[in-house]
Amino acid sequence: MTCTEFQKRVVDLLDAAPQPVTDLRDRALRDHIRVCGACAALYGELQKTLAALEPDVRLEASPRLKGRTLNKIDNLPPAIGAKRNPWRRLWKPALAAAATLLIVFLVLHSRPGKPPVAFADVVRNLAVFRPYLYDEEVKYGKKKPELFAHQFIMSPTIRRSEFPDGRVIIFDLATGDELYLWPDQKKATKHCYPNLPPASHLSISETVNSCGRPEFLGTKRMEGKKCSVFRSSDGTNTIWVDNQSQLPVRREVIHLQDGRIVQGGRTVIESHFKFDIEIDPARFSLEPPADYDFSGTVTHEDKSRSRQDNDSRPFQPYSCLDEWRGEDGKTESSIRRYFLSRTIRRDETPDGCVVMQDLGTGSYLELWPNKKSAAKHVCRNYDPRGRVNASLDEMFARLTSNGWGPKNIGTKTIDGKNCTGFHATDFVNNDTIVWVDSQTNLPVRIEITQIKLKRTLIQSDFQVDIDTDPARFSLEPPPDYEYKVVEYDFK
Amino acid sequence: MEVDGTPPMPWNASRDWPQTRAEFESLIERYQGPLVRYAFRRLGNIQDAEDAVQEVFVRGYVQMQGGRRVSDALAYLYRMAANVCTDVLRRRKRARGWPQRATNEPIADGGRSVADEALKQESVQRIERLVARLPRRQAEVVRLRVWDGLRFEEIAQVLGCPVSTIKSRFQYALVKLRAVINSAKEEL
Repeated sequence: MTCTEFQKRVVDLLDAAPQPVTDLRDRALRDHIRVCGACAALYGELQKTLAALEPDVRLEASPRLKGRTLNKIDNLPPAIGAKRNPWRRLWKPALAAAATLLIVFLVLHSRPGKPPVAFADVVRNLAVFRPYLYDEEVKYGKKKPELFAHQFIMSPTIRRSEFPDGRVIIFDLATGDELYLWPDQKKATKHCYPNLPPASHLSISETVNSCGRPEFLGTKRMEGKKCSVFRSSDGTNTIWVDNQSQLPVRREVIHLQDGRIVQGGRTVIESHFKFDIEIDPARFSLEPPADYDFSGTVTHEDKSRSRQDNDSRPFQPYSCLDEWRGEDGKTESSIRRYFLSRTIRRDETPDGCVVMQDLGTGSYLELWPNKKSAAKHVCRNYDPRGRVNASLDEMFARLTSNGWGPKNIGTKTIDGKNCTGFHATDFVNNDTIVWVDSQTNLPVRIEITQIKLKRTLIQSDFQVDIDTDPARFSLEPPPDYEYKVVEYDFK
Repeated sequence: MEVDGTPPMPWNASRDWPQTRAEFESLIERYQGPLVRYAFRRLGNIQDAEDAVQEVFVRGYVQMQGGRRVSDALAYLYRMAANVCTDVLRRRKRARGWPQRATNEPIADGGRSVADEALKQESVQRIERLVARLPRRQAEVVRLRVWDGLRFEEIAQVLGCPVSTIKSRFQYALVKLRAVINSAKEEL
């Protein structure tokens, strides 16, 4: 036996009641002790440690304990000492089965029967339009809902939305005109959308009608009213209907992603409905109030055509560094972008990935040069309308989108250049600041703060003299790359 | 009884749950000592420890009479002992504030005295002071081996571990404690 083997097995000699040394292995251990001084010393040390741990006096059970125990056993009541009825072992499973049956019975018999309100009556009640108002909230997943707007519906096409930030938008679906009002600043802007594609109806009657024959879920109190609850067959629309007035009290619409309900998805909640409200036509007028500072009308492109087709201005290829910063000012992501045209772009990410995009077709190519691999993503059902590179033209367009144009906010030196700053809040309340080189009139830094998302996009290090070799922007994988083709659905 | 010439497996008290009165008495004989020591560690009082162990065996006997199958006899006895000790401690907590037995009153059973009990409590505390320096799992092995006097194989059954694991835990524990004891001697 080697010393290593001995050290591994020495503990066998320290068992509580060692067996007689008949076992060959134990004998080998003891033989080793006789010939190896170091191992004998180790064994001695362990024995000493064990001896130091041993109790001074070993507690033994009283000699009478066994007799006392047996005496108690002999005097047990017969019912306890008797052999147990084997059926007693089945009482728990039997009870569980009975409880399950009871629950199933209760569930089956508690299913809602006939609704107190026929859904067809609700549809009939709303068939003739009646002006109404409601609160619109939005919630994501299980998060707390947030008020989006107080909505006032004057007619099936005219709506007034009052937002929590004080903005008011009056929208006429028939003409595609929108009037933006800032009552606290007494300012107004008009936006015009010629050839607006057919939009969804404003009236709740259409929505209710679209539920078809919804499932009745039961009755529940909502906003102090006893309501019947219905859910559309696709599960996206839930409507609470007042049993008395037979009018909607609340509606929840789950927005689908890729055609299915996803966890954490968006739900729009409409509540606090009031029907047959008094209408002051002046509050729904698309003419700016006389005492307001009116900026004029901003005409938006024809949305029935693609944006690149709408825009015939020459395009200056350029590159910039995009950085997204969070509320704490820390950079969350950065990307170097090269814009070849309004639709073709090359992105280079810090991890070495290169992505070429064509916003005209929706296809993009991912390249990993270090692995010599690529993935080509081809889009099905692509709609190019509204898809355009966030080009400089777009950035500058933001400055004028509120109708008044930007404010000059002074000069400052950025990257050694003397710059002039322009600030504007666009019509969806995003802040944009553009710093322009006073000598070249080219942008040096653009900051766009998405107030609602509490994120800022900073574009800097603009370069206009870039390599426009089409091969750098090609959506075909290089010949020496391994690649796969992935199809995805735009919708 | 022999079947096909194969001798029956001998009854193993630590593993097999008894089926007869004789086997049950052997079980008591073999494990009353370790269980009383275990209960004393938990309760700090010999009388209560023995009462607890008696309760364990009575419950065990009722189980045997009821035809209950127990796969690991020793582990089952220790689990029952742990539960009974917990009950006793709970009862004590509830009864706190009631007059306690005078500490110098001799305990009738076996002619033991308070002095005996104090000596044993001191032993437990001395071992606990040393064992407290060990990781929890090693400490439990040392307690079962040194204080309760169980063999490695039995400890393995109580803790549900392989015997080799128990042995290595015990060996590591001894090496650590040797260092502790030596350093304490040097400080003196």
